[in-house]
Amino acid sequence: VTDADHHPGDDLAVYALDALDPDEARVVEAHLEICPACRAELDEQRATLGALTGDEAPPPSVWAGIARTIGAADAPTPLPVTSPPRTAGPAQPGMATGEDDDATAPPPPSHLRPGRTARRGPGRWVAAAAAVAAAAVVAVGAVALLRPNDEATDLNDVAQAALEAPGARVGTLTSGDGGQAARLVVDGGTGYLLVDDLPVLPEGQIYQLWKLGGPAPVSMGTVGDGGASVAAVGVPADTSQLAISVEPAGGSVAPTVDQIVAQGSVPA
Amino acid sequence: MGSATHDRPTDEALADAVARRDSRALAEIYRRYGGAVGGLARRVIRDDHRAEEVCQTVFTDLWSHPERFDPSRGSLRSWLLTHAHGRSVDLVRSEEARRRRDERDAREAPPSWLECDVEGTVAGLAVADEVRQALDNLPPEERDPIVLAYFGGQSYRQAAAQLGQPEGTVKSRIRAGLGKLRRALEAEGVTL
Repeated sequence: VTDADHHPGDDLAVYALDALDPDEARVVEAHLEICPACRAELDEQRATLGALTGDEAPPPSVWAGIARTIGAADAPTPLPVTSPPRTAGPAQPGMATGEDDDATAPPPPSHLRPGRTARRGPGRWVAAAAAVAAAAVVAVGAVALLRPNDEATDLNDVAQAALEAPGARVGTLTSGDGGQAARLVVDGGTGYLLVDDLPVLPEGQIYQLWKLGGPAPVSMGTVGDGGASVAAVGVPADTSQLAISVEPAGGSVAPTVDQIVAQGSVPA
Repeated sequence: MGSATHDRPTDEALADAVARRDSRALAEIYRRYGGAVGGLARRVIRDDHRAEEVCQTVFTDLWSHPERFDPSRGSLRSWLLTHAHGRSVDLVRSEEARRRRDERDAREAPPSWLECDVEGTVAGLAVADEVRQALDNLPPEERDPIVLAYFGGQSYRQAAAQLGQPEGTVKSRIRAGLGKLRRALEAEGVTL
């Protein structure tokens, strides 16, 4: 039963999240066929949700698979841009989303440049995400730093600068044998985990950093497979106690208790 | 398409070129939005390998059915993300159904793998501070079901159960939260 005057209201927003029951979704879809106003509202809701997703450069195998499927194995390999967050700066009327970088093709993101990646294993998604997270922080009030060919976007450099800043808030994580496994430099809501001594994990596993001390552990993010030397993480306001665990690739919602490999704390 | 050498083709022009079977146009679209599509799939699915498959499918679907992108309905980025989200959620739900069948003898086992840590998810988003701030500024009762549904791949019923709130209330809070989020992002000058 469809009725052009009976707008789905709340159900439309839930539909935008792909969170309705299938039968409810069918009712919304039938209404959308005949209601331009609800179509426009849905488009707006989807655009809003789109702003919540940042770029995480996929590994090259993804494009290779696409090129194979479309029968264009010789198509040039595009390097996904981990573009600057689409915010701030002067408005650019008339320019489509994502069209706001240079006319020239940007060089690959720094994490893909040769020479910096010698130790990196398969955890490329994570490295890209971390680089973007760091860039997003640098972006505030310093859009120029985000230009892809600017060395300041290199996570290693950003982390090093944070570490050397006067009054830097640095915590140390110690592994079971008492060795220094990693350090966390906190810079506002962002932290840089500098890996000092974590074994490189086999494929399918990843290190994840946790904030302890609250009612439940809070994930601060996955921090690579031990092959990368720096990862950017989110630092909740009252972070003090920390732990690193080994989790299945992609991370977990809670730490695997017998897989905690390092613990420590960061000064307030 | 503009012929001036310094003009980058618009998304619309690239979609038109894809319709003419120009694989370089698809490569350029992938270069622009592969990171966002893959990033969203990875966040919802929480499995790199499957997320990569979904990411591939989204772009090969555009190649097979370029006419399904209607520029009057929003940006190409938004369209690609909508498809990535729908496919990711489908995958999560079918995986959930499979696990339920496999574990039907262990009925009391809660679907803990589905539970989603809202704070950790928001903290882990690779977005600008303004966007994270807009999300953080939402009332938690509106933000949490949006995060659970959008990034956790949960239905509104599952989100309501995890949050211990009535289902109808969760629906209206999702709508209210999305409206507030859009206004906050627009006020911050975020391009939507």
